[in-house]
Amino acid sequence: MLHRQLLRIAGAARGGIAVLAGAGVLLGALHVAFAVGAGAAVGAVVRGTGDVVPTLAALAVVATARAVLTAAQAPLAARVGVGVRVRLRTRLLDRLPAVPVAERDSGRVAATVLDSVDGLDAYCTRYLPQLVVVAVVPAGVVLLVATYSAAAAWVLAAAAVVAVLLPRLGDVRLVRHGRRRWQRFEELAGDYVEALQSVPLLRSFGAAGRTGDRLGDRAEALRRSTMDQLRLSLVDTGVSVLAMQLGTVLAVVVALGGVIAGELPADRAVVVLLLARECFRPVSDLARHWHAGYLGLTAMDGIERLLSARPAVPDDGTRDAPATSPAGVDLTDVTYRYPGTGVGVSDVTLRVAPGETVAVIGPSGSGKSTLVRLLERDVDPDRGTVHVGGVDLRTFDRTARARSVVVVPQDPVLFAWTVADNLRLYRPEATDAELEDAARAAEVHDVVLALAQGYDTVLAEDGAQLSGGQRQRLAVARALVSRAPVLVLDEVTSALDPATERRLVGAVARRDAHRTTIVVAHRPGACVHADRWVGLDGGRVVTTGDGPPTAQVLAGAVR
Amino acid sequence: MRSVLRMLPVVATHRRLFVETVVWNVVAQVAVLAVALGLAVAVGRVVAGEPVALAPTAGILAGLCAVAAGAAWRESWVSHDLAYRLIGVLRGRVFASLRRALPARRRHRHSGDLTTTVVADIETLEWLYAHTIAQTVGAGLVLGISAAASATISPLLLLVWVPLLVVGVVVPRATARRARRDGEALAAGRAHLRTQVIDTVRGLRELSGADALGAQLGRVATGTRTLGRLEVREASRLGAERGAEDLLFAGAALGAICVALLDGAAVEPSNVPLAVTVAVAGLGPAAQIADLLRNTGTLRAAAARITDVLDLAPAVGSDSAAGRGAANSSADHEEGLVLDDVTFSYDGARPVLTGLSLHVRPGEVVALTGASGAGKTTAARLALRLWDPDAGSVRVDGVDVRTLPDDTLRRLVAVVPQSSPLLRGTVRTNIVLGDPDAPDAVVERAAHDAGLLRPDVGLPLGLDTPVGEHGHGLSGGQRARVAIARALLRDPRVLVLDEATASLDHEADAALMELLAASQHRATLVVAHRKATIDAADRELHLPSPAEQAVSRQDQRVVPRNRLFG
Repeated sequence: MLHRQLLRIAGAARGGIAVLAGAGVLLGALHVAFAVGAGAAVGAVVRGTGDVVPTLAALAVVATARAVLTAAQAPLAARVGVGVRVRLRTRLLDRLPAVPVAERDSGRVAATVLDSVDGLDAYCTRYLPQLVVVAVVPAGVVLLVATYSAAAAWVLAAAAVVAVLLPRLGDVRLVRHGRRRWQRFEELAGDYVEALQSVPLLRSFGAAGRTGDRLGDRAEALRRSTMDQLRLSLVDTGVSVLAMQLGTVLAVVVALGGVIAGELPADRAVVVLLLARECFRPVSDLARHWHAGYLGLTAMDGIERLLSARPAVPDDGTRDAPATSPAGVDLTDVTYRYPGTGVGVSDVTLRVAPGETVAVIGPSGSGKSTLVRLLERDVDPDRGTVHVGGVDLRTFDRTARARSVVVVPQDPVLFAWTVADNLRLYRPEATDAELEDAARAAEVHDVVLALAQGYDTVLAEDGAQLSGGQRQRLAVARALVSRAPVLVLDEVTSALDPATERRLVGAVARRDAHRTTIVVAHRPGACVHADRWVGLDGGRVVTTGDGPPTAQVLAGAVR
Repeated sequence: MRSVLRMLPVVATHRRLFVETVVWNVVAQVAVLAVALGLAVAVGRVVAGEPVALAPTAGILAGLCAVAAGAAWRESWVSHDLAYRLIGVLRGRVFASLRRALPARRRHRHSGDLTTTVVADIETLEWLYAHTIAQTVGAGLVLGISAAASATISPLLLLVWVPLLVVGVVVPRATARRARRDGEALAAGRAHLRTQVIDTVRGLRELSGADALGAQLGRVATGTRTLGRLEVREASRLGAERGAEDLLFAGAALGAICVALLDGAAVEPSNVPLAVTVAVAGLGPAAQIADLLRNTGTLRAAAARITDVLDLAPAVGSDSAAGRGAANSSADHEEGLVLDDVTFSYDGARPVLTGLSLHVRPGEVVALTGASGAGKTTAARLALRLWDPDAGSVRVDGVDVRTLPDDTLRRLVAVVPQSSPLLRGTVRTNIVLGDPDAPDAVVERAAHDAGLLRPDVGLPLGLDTPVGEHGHGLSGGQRARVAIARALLRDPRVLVLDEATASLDHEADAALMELLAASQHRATLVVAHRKATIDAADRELHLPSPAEQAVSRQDQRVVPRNRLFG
């Protein structure tokens, strides 16, 4: 079965697939040559005619060539497959930012990017080349047999056509079943990832057993749908096995009839016996490869979903120079509402002078997070503009934007890399000394040294071996390594005790006096160094003031 | 090999299917062999000019073909049914082991790594259950029949199989170590790749913000290439063995012809096609067994990773003592939460908590403060019995939590964990996590108490607002409120809030503290840093960090560590 989108993907590996198909056809030809030679030799021995030694010698050569080609085929296919997978995985993951946040499911994405792509690899490097072999080799065998016995050739041809085409009748239905199965598989993979990430939560609420039961039900549904799909494919397999076996028996019997009737030299019957196997070998190989390759077909939905996602923010900026330090931030009449809701910010105008530190405060739902998302260009304003260093944020290219503004989110994610690699997130070229310096400023250097391999320790998932406050400090250190002229800190000290918070905030302020800093905070300690504060409510700027916001202001005077 | 063997007893859960698989497999293989031998006999006779009744022969062989196809179909159905049922059983066992063993105290494993085991490694066993065990039995039988037939024609024919032993058994044994290493490296590589992809999705905001997505894609591509190199190496090994095997098939056929030439006395001319067929047909199942040996590298690696998870020690001891606690007459039902002289360490060496004692009485709100890393979250997790202390005890209303049935404990104690983790679904499904059957009125009450229903909180669809992975789609304040509602839902006797109010605004924090203080029967422990929160509590307990402890030791002052009884 062919699939247009899949063929387009396979097209990139056209050369490799052609080579594999060529090797398959050549291998088929060697098998046929061996069958013809062996048949002739057996016939000669049975009838006691002629010297078979030269034939046997030739057969040994053919057999050796066959063995060498067989040995070379698998690694060749693996090599072509690596190329297909690297290309496809990169393309798929590159589309990720376009997937709406609410629909991102890491387990499912992993199933698509890893398991689906493995299936596609099998389709491209095994099924497609074998399709060519099936089109060529059985036809050749039938033609060859036709030179001995037309009747036997007809029998073989009919059986081969049945064995190849009959299963195809069920293919469409099979792929439909398969797609459903694959969806279940992806969902199950997604559920496992979430459940395994949440075991402490599930145990705390006595929900671990229930979740296990639910996953068991889902796994059972996956099994049922796997068997539904197998019910079809196995009947096909049975029928095509029957066609192959019967085809062989009938072709040989017909040939034997010819021998008895004196229409065919006797040794040709042996050749027909051996050739019949070669006629069906590619067919049964195709069935085997279909088994592996059609997984790729069924997995296309997830792949297409990723490939067709349209990004919320167009990536069409061309300015490749980041804003120069010090850079101010200007929001002018900015309005943004989350799609389908009235929530967001309205007509916000905010001017932050170069090097200034401004605290943004306000109750939950007042628009602080939206403001942060606008600054990191996770979303573009519906109306109004955001300028950094006098340049519209939309005109920067991705790299320049990333080097102009760095945001430390409320719940920063740490990666399962080494501590040093995590710290280099925003500036891969940073030196070890710079990492240490930033870690010291963020009060996390000693924490890192206490880890088993210091800065070379590979962090557990989301830094599970660290406390909440330690994770926050590492995220701040990571941002300090960057040289972006604008730093946005979104409640990054909420898990710190006041003393640590004071030291960290002070160190950040001293270290980067020229860096423009926007601090979103609920606690006075986080914004003691603010030059000004801005109070948001209901998505609008409602109050402002000079100096750091007092505890009274933070405690609700802004309302 | 031991780990593969450990995957076998599970077959006993579906004995009937297994027996059926073996029976149909044997029928199918023997029928196929019979067709091949029958054809060879017919061909031999006709070629040698002996009389053959073609029509009955064709009829019998066609019948055998039908039997072969039918049995093959039935066998493949039953064997897959068996395999997928067993896979289901194993998935259940693996998840059950994980949900008892997590959170890990020491060796943290990435969810991508663990998911690879639950999803991919177990799927590898399909090959073991559906295509190996029964097939080996059938193949052995066919090999025996072929050997007997060969010996009947000419014992010399058995010689053509000698190279098989070398290629089929000796070579795989010789390469077994490399196969195992490759298998392990492949499994580990696949797991690593999954952790990277999962991290990419989870940290997409950071990666996009840092323009580091390209670098991360590079990591995935490098991982794929590294795996690819291993796969090419494995394919080369498998290809070489398959090539050698192909050479064996050819050699067996040629050898049979040579035997016929050399031992003309024993091998009648009409038997030559049969001799060749027997030589080749006998190799078929032998090749299957060789295939089994070849794939043990992958199988072993998968089985070892599964065994590794199945053998994980549970995070807390079994609650075999369950029920004892409930019946404990000496229980003080008004004691609240007590941590009594608790010592705990993650690595078995450096204790995070040493002799910590604290007591929160019913009706009391106690603020637990301390430097970052002092062990506040650890103490909270011990109160929830996510782990058991190394020394000392945790009591709820006078009963040691180790003696409480899990269900009872979960009804008594609730938590609002740090950073308010939420699950995919809706706000409502998150709130009812601990009690899926809670009536609507109770759910709404909890949501109301947590301040979720206030219009300015801005949940667009109220309790039916969708929630993405890790709570995506909700703001920090909204998430904290959902997590609080979830904990309030069951009206727990003991409530632990682990920095849950940090992302709430002051007004919401004050309202929550007021609500908590109003309860007469609940013992509430609040891990907090905000002054207003601490002030609103009845008492503050300060947990000194190891560093502060060191300072006090330096001062030579005898400060009893962690004596926090108020």
